[in-house]
Amino acid sequence: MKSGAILSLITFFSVLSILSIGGSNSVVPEMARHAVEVERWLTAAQFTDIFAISQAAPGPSNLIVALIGFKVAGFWGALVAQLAMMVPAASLMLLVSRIWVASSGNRWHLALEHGLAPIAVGLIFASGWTIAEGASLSTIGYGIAAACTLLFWKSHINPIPIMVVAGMLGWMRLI
Amino acid sequence: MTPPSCMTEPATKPRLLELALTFNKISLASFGGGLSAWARRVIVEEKKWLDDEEFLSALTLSRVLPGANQMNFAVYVGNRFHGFQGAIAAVLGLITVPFLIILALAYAYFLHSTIPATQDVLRGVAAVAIGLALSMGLKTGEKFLFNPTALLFGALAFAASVFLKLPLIAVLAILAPPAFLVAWRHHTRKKDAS
Repeated sequence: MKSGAILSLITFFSVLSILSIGGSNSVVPEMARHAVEVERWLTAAQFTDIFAISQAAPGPSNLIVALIGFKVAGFWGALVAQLAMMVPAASLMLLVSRIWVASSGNRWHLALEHGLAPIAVGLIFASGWTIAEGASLSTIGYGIAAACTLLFWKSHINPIPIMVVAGMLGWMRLI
Repeated sequence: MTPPSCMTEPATKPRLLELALTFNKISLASFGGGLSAWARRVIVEEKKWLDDEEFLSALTLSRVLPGANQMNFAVYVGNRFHGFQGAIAAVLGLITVPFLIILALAYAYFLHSTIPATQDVLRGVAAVAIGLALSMGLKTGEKFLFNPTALLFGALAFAASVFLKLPLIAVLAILAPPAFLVAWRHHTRKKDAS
C-alpha cells in the first residue's frame, strides 16, 4: 500500500517535472487536479493552504511537492516526491548548460546572448509589475516598494533585514 | 556597445563548499519564487562569478526550460565551475535547508493543523520583492538606454507579458527570432568593419 503510494508519487512528479516549463507554478493547476480529484491525496482546502505555505517559505517554488509527498507518506514521501520533481528537469538543464557553455564565443551564442538580453530585462520589469498587481498593497506598501526600488538600484544595501522588517510590518497589518 | 563576452573567468574559481553555501544564502532570502534579483546581487555583484550578460542568458535558460527557475540557475552556475559535481553541490545548497523548513511546516500543518499567518507576512515581503525586481531591471537595463533596438525589444517583452498576459514561452517564441537576427547582423557588420 505504502510502496504503491511512493511509486505513484514518483511517476506523477517526474512527468510533471519535465512539463513544468516556465517554473513549477505553471503546473500547479495540474498538480491540484491530480492530487485532489484523481488521487484524493488531500482536500481542495488543504491544497490551497499548502500552496500558501510553500509560497511563504524560503526556497524554490517547487517545495509544494514535498508538502504533498509528506501528506501521502511522511518523511520518505516528501523526499521521494521532491527528488522526482527535481531530477528530470535538472538533468535537462545540465545538458543544455553544457551545450551553452561549450558554445561560448560562437557567433550564434553571442547573437543569442545579445539579442535575448533586452528581452530578459523587459521580463524582469514585468515580473516586478506582476508581483505589484497581485500583492494588493496599501498606499504605504506601494510607497515602500518605490523607495526600495530606488534604494536597491543606487546602493549596495543588504535587502534581507529590510525584507524581515517589512514581513513583520505585514504581519502587524501595517502594510 | 558591449564587447563580445567570451565568458570571462572570475579571478578565483569557487570551491564546491562555497558553491553550496552561496546557494544556501540565495535560497533562504527568496520567498515566493522571487529569486532572480537577489541571485544577481550575490552572483554578479558580490561574488563576481558571472558578468551581467552571462547572468541574463543563464536566467533566460533557467526560466524557459522546465523546472523551478532557482534550481535550474543553480545547475547552471554549479556546472559552469565544477561540472556535474558542482551542479549537485549548488542544488544541495539551494534545497537542503528550505526542505527541512518545509518538513517542519508540513509537520505543523498536517499533524497539528496550525497554519502560520502567511498572507500578511507575504504582503509585507512582496513590497520589498517588488523593489528588488524593479531595481534589478534598472541595473541590468541602464546600458540599453541609448540603444533604440534594445529598448524596443525590452518594451515589447514587458507589454506582451503584462498587458497581453502571454506566457513566457510565447513571449520568447515571438520576440527571440527577430532579436537574434538583429544581433546576428550586427555581429556581421562589426566583423566586416574590423
